[in-house]
Amino acid sequence: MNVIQAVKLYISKMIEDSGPGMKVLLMDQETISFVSMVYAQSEILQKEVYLFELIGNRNRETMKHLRAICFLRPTPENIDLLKRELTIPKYGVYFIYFSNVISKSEIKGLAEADAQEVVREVQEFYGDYLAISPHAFSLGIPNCSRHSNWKPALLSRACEGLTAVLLSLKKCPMIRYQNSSEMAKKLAETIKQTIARDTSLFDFRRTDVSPLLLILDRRSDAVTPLLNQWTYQAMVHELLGIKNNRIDLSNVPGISKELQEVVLSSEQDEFYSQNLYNNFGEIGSKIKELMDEFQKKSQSNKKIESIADMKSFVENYPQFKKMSGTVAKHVTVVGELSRIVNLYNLLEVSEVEQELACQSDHNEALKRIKELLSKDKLRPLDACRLVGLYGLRYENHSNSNFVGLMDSLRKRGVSEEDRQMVRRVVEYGGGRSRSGADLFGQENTISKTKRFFKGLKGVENIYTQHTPQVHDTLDQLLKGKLREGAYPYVGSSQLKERPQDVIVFIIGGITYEEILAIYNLNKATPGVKIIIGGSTVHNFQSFQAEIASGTKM
Amino acid sequence: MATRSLTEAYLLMRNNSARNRHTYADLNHEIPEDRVALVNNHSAEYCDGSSSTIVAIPPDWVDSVEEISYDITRIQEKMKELGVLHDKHLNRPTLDDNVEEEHAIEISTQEITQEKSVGIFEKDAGPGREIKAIFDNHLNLREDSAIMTEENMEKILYLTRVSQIPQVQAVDQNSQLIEQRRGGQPHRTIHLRPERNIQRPSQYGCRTGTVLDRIDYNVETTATKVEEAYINYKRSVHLPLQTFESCLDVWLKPTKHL
Repeated sequence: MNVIQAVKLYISKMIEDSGPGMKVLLMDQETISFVSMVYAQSEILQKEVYLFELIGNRNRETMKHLRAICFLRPTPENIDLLKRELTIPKYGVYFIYFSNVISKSEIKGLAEADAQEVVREVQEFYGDYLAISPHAFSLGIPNCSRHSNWKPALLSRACEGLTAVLLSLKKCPMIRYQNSSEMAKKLAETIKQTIARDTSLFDFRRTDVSPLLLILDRRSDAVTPLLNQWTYQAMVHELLGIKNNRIDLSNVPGISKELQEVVLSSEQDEFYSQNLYNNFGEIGSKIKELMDEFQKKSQSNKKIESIADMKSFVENYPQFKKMSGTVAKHVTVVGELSRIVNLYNLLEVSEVEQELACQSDHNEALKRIKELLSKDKLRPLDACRLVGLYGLRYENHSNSNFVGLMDSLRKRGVSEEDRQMVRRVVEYGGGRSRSGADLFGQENTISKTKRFFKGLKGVENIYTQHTPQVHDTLDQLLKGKLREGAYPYVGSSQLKERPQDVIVFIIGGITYEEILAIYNLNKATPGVKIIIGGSTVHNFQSFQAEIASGTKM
Repeated sequence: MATRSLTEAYLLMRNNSARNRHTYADLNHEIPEDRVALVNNHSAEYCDGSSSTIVAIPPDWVDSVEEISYDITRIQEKMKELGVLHDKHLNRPTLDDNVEEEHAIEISTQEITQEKSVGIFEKDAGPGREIKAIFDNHLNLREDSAIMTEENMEKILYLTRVSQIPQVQAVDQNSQLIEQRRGGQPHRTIHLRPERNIQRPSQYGCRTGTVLDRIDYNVETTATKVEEAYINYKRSVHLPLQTFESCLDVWLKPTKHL
C-alpha cells in the first residue's frame, strides 16, 4: 500500500521492458505530471531516457534511432494524436502504455494507423493519478461538481482514477459511501459497475480481510480547508501554493532568478521529507541546525592547503553544492512564510479560527472576530475565512450574529464577490448539505463529554488543536463503530472484521492537514494501512473556486 | 501493480488491417497487364532518385541486431521469472497437492527453450540459417542409421562412442573395430539411441557447431592414423625380406665389383 512506489514501479518497468538503447518518453499533459511527482528528471536520465516530449507537440524532430515509450491517458484526443504519430512515425520503435483501460475499438483504430508496423507493445499500466506521498494521492480534477452534482466527464475521470489506484495496489475492495451525499453514492456505484464489468482484471489474491474503499464528500467537512495551517507542507500550500510539487516564488520581493520556482519533493529532498509534518516553530530550529551544519562545511572547505585537502574538496563538492541548494531553497521558503505570517497577523487570526472550530464559547468568539475585523492588518481573505467559519459554526445558534458580521465585512470594503463567497461557504458546508452530520461534536453526548475533558486538560498547541473530521470517521471505522445507515455498503456483502487496508476518497478535494491526520493515524494503529485521496488538494483559495462551481447562486 | 498486455490483440488487428489494405488496394486499382507490369518504365528514374536516400538508411542487419537483442532481453526476463518460480517451489514448498506451480514452471521452461531455439533458427538471414542447415543434415544422418553405408560407418561408430568414452580410448577402439571389420566381420548391429535423447533441442543452438567440428576432426585423424598403421604394417611385413636383401647386397657388393 504505497502509491508512490506503485507509480514508480510502473515507470521503471516501462523503461526496462523496452530493452537497451536510447529512448524518448512521450507523454501528455497529465501523465507528465504523474511521472514528475515520483521521478526526478536526473533519475530517469540514468535509465537511458534522454528526451521527454509531449505528444501534442507538433514540432518534434524525427529521430529514427530512438525508441519511443508512450505513456498516455486513453483519451480520444490522445488516441487521435497517436494515430497521426503512427502514420508518420518520428521514432524507430514504439512501446505504448495506456494509463487506464482502453476499448477494443480504439486499439483497432491504432492498429489500422500503424501501417509501417512500428509498434512493439501495447499495454495498460494503471498509473493514472498523482502520487503525493506514500499514503496520499490526488486526481488533479478541481471543481468537480456543478449544482451539487457531478460534471459527467469528471465523474468518469474520478472513477478511472480510483480504479487505477485499486489496480495499481492490487486491491478489489468493498465499497462504502457517505449516504448523505448523492455524489458519493453515484461514484461508488459507478466504481462497482466498472469492477463488475472487468472481473478478470480485478481478480487478485484474496486476503483474509478484504480491503475497503470509503467515499466521502467534502461538504460534510467544509471547516478543514478554511483553516490556516501551521505544519510545513500544509503551510506552504496555504500561503504559497504547491502545484505538482512545485512552488512559484516569483512574487516574493527580492528573489534571485534561480529560486523563482522551486521543487519540494519528499522523494528527493531529505530535509523536506523529514520536516514535512513538523510545525512552524520546529521548522525554525531545524533550519537553524541545517544552517549551522552548512556553515561548518563551508568553513572546512575554505582551508585547502595540501593536495589531500584538494582531493577531498573535489570529492565532496557535489554534496556541498547540493546542500547549499537545499539550504538556500528552504531558507527562502521559510523566510517568505514568516514574512507573510507577520505581515497579515496570521497567528492571531489562526488562534480565533481554532477557537471557532474547537471551542463552543459563542460570545467570546464573536467578540474576538469583531476585534479582528476592526484591524487594518487583516487580509480580506482572512476576514472572509473568519466570517465563513463563524457562519458554519453558529448557523443555528439562537444569538447568531452572522448578518451583523457580513455587514461589518461590507464596511471594511470587502468586495461584493467575496461576500457572496462567504454565503456560499455556509451554503456548501452548512447543516443542510451535511444533513445532520456531527461536524462540531455538538449533538451527541459522548463527544460533548470528550470535548469537556479536553477543555479541562488544556491543549498543547492552540494553533493545531483542530483535527479534521475524516480522522474521527476513520477512527470509528477501525473500531467497527461506523454506522451502517450513514455509511452503507454498495452491494449486499459486508465486512465483518476490523478493516486492515482502507482507501478513503474525498470528493471535492483533500487538504494537507488531512494527509497529516492519516499519517498520524497510520503510525498510531499498527496493522492498519490507510491511503487518502481526493479529487484535488485544496488550500483556501482553490477551495473557494471549488465552492463557486459547486453551488448555485 | 496490475498490468494488462494488449499486444497480441493489437498485432492481430494490425495484421488484419494490413491484409484488408492489400485486398482493397487490389480491388481499387486495375491489375496492370503483364507487359506493363514486367517492364517498369519508372525504374531508371526511381533508382536515381532514391540512391541518395539509400545511403542515409542504415544497413539491413541493424534491424535484426535490434530484434535479436530485444529477444534476448525478453528471454533473460523470462529466465529470471523462471528462476523465481524455481526458488519459490524449492525453498518455500507448500506441501500440498497443488501442481499449479509445477505446471507453471514447465510452461515457462518450454516457452524459454522454444524461444531460444526457434528464435535463433527462424531468423531468415545470417548464421542462424547455416546452423539450421547443418543441424538438418545431422538429423538426417542419424535417422537413416538403418541403412548404413560403408562410408559413414566410421562416423557413426565414433558418434556412439564419443559420448561414452574418453577420446584417446575412442581412437584406439576405433582402430580395433576397423581391424575387425577388415578381418571380414563387419560390425553392423549397432544400436543408435534416438537423437533427441542424447541432446535436448535447446542445446543445439549453442553445441551443434562444436560437436560437428569435433566429429570431423576425429574422423580425419582416425583415418590418417589407420592409413599410417596400414603402411607401417605393410612395411613391417616387407622388412625382414628387405634386410635380408640388403645384407646380401653388402655381402655381394664387393664381389660384384671385384
